[in-house]
Amino acid sequence: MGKKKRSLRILLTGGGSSGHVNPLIAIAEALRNSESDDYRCQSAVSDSKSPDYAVNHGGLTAEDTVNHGGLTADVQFLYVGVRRGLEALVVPRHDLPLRFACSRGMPSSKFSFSMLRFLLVLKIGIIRALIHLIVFRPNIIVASGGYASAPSVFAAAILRIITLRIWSIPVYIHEQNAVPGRMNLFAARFASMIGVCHEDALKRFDGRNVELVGYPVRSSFRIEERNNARKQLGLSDEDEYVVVFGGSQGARTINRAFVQALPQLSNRPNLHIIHASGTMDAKEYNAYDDTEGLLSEYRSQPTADDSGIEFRVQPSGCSSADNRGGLTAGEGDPGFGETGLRYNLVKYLHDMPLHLAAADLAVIRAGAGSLVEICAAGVPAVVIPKANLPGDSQVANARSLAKQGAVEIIYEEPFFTKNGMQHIVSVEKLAFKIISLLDNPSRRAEMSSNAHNAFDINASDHIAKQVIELTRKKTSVRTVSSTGISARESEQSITTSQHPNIPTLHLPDNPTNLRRKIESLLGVRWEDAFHQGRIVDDQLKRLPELSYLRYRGAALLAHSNWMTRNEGVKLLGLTRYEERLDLLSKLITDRTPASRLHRLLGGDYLQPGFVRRNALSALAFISVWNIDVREAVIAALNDPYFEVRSAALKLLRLFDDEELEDITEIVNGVMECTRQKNLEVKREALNTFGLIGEPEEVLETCRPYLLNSHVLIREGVLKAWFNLLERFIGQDIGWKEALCKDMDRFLITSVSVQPFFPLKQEFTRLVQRLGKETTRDLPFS
Amino acid sequence: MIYLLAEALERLGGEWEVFRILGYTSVRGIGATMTTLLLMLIFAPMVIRHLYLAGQRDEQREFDPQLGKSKRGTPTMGGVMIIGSVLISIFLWGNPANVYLWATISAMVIFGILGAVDDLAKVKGKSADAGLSRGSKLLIQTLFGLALGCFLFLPATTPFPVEIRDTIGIPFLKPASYGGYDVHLAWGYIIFVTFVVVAVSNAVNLIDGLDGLAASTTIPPIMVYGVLAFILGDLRFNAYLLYPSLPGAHELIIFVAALVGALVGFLWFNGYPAEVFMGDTGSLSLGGVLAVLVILTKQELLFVIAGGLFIFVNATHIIGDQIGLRMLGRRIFYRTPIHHSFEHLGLSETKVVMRFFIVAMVLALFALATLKLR
Repeated sequence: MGKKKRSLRILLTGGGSSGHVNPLIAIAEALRNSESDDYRCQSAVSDSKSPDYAVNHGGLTAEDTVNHGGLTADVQFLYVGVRRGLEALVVPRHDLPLRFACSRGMPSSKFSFSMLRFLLVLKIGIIRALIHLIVFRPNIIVASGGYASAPSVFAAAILRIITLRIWSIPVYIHEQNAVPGRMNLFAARFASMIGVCHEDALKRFDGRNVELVGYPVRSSFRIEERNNARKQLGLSDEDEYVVVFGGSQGARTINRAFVQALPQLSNRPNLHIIHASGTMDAKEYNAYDDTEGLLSEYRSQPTADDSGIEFRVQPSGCSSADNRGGLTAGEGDPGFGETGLRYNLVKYLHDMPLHLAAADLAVIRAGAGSLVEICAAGVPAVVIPKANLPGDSQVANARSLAKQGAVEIIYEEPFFTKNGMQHIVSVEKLAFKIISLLDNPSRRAEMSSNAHNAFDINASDHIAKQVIELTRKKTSVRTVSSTGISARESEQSITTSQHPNIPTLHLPDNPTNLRRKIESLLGVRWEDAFHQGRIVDDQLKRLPELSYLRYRGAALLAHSNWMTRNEGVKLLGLTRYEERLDLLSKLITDRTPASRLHRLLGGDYLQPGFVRRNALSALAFISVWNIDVREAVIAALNDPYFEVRSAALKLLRLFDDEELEDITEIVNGVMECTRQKNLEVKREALNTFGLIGEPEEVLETCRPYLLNSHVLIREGVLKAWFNLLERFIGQDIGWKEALCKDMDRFLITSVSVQPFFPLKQEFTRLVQRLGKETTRDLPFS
Repeated sequence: MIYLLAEALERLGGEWEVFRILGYTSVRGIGATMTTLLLMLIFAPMVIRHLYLAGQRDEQREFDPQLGKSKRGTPTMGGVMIIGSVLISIFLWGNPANVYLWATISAMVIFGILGAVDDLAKVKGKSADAGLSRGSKLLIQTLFGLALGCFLFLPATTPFPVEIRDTIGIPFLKPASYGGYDVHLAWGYIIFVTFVVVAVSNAVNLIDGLDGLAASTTIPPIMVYGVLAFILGDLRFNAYLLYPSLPGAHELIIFVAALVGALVGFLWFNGYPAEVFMGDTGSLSLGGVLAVLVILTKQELLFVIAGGLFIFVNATHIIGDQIGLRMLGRRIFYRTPIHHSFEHLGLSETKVVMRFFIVAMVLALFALATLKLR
């Protein structure tokens, strides 16, 4: 029994994607190698108590496992994940015994069938996890979040409650993101300690035992030696090696763009590429098959053959010396050198450290995990962040690393395709960036050293230490001293500045709040677009990170929710994104019909009326006239939604008629609008017509409305006349007589009154004189 | 209070019997009106000052920046004055033994508290959007509706004659006791009551958006139901007009009288340009009261006529806001609630309020005209 007490049993749980699995593997590795005096560590288990768990799930023999490292059994691991998750592929390769407890992602709708299914599955999962807990009897649970960790964490909480805290297993949670997942936020209440990678995440776990620890990375990323790795892969010194990896699931935009960029890369004789497409095989996108399909298209084209690219596709494996178990079926692929292979497509790269160590350049997604890995390996990378994630987390990650000079970013840009607005990585930009970086070794060396500097080397060891500490003072986990944390504060601030995952940008995540913030920085209100007109350069200078804000606005346009798209449109306008007027124009001219239900209720197009109207307001803030804008305005004048028409009419008034160039089509459109029934449109049309119409025609058009019962329309008539006079100021005008005649008949009775409050005016004047010293709000703000 | 006093004096007999007139519904009704009106006129300026200093200042939602006016900072939560003066007046003139009266008072107070919580949250959050969520308001309204429904339906507690407790009144149709039809809903009556409470109380809440609009447009329907209460509680009248007899319902006239007095007094200050707003405290409690009056007089369907204006505002709002703004992303009306639409078209606020009041009056007259048509 004495021996059993000294042995440390650690249950690892979490998974789904590599973002949750890899940190756990890194933590396990750090625990194994931990220099702790109390525990001599060993990899997997061969314990008499639970022989079940010694069974290896990775296709290795039991002897292999036990002999690994050749140590005695003092630290035992058990990984509890879900069968469908990435852990099923990856974990066995790291000599960790794996068990399953089913779970599902929590649906967003509270009352639905999927919620019911979620609860049912979770219940079964918790029961299975309880069995694992009782059989394995872990000293601590290390959870990395994701739905896969739910059963074990809840089971531990249940165990604690039903045994009245007698059997209380401490839970250590590691949160990788700035915006914690729902699972981790909820599980935090059962946690003895929470380690986070992000300063922002500290606040989310306020009041709990939380510490900034950084992102754990397997040491092999650091220690794999470049020359050795290249030799293993059969690369010579002149060879250029590029690793393309869009995350464990796969990234459609990267896969497609990269395959299309291949012909442009083909004239480099020494270029070798390994491309991991990702394991996603959902109905809408099967990462591997889609990429392969694109490739075979190129292969069938004679040009591709001429370019001299040799394609090599391995449906289920990776191509390295390390080639065992799991997905890998291809037996003992010798590597590049011997086959002369130049392009290699695989589903998943199991020995990432080796490939990264050998790589000259990586093309990756900006997931926190991938970024930390390339930093650890010191590989220069082209980073393509995924747009429109909650909190725009990938973009924030990428940008903060780019600021430190460690990576270069290519943004996904929205474009109109057959299937509506979609994000696309520009093939030209990608090819250009890859070539220019490969041609510039000194820049790569610089990036490499910057990446090394950005990496916090101690995260996994630090976490390992904390985990072991927690098992020691198991009974007093709730009272882990606050002084301990504050003592580390100075240390924290250092790691903060070094850690790659902390965005330096302090702008709101939520698009609406971001837009409000921009409005207040600019000192404009969205509603005033047509009064304000062009946003001037001085105002724009007040915006921090202008290029990012523009990117963000454009990215939001491809969002599925129209309200978010709407905010994207506003961002484009407020940041005066003149380069992408085509996007705004496309929104207005897009005639994709809305869903049947929406049309039945009075909707029209996929881009709702508000989006189209606001696109015109955005054009007002930008105030540039070109062919795109012209097209948009002409479409808008014939739009079925009245606010779009009136917005187009207001927009026209911001331009001189010389600017508008060929004007007849527009004049006709405006003229048509003056005949429409809608009061708002009619008023704006009359007003605008006064600016661009022939004088006699304007007078003629206005004449029927001199005695109109609607104030709005008579107001429009007056504005039209005024605009007309302004245009011909100082000129001899023949139509003056007619105008005076009309004015004699004009009905000036009004039902419209603007209130005027002398007291409030005076108060406002006083407050303004005082400066901002009074806390009172102005009555007129 | 005075009702009990009059009863006691009447029992003394002799020359004390003169005080009998204080027990008459009509006399007490006028008394209640005068009491609330005077209370309002005398004490309102003081209360408004206190509300202002206590930070109860309006956070107006900008419906149409085009109009370029600001009502921010106007004292709000004026509904407490209405509720307070009505309570005092009822305390003086009401018959404390009457169940109808208590049901109406509880509706007014409960919805008033709900509105006050909402108002306080808005002021605290410094935004018109910071108030109670739509869901939590609906929940409390539903709970109240269910409770009222059960109270009226269960034979042990119902103030109605047991055999007609689950019927609903249909205009132009005689009840069974006069050779017509009764529509019995059985348990469905509880659901029906809940629906009426939620629908009517929200309708009044919505219309509160222009100076004097909510107060002036609720007076006509409330008076219609006052008249109905008088008829239903009086055997001679309901025999003549062929209405079911609801003994005790005539006491509602005291409440209606007090409320009308309070609303007129409130309008004195709330008329354009407003010195005080009633806030959700006022509009929700007015809505609750109107809903309970509709139910207690068993003339639910008459509200379609008497409260047609509210139904119009509500329906356009649901179409314009829920379907148009949230779902389709377009305006179906220029603005909702619909009175802002008229403002948007260039009608001044005063004009809109006056026209809405006229419509409410005409609808009330129509509703009264149906009394004899059956």
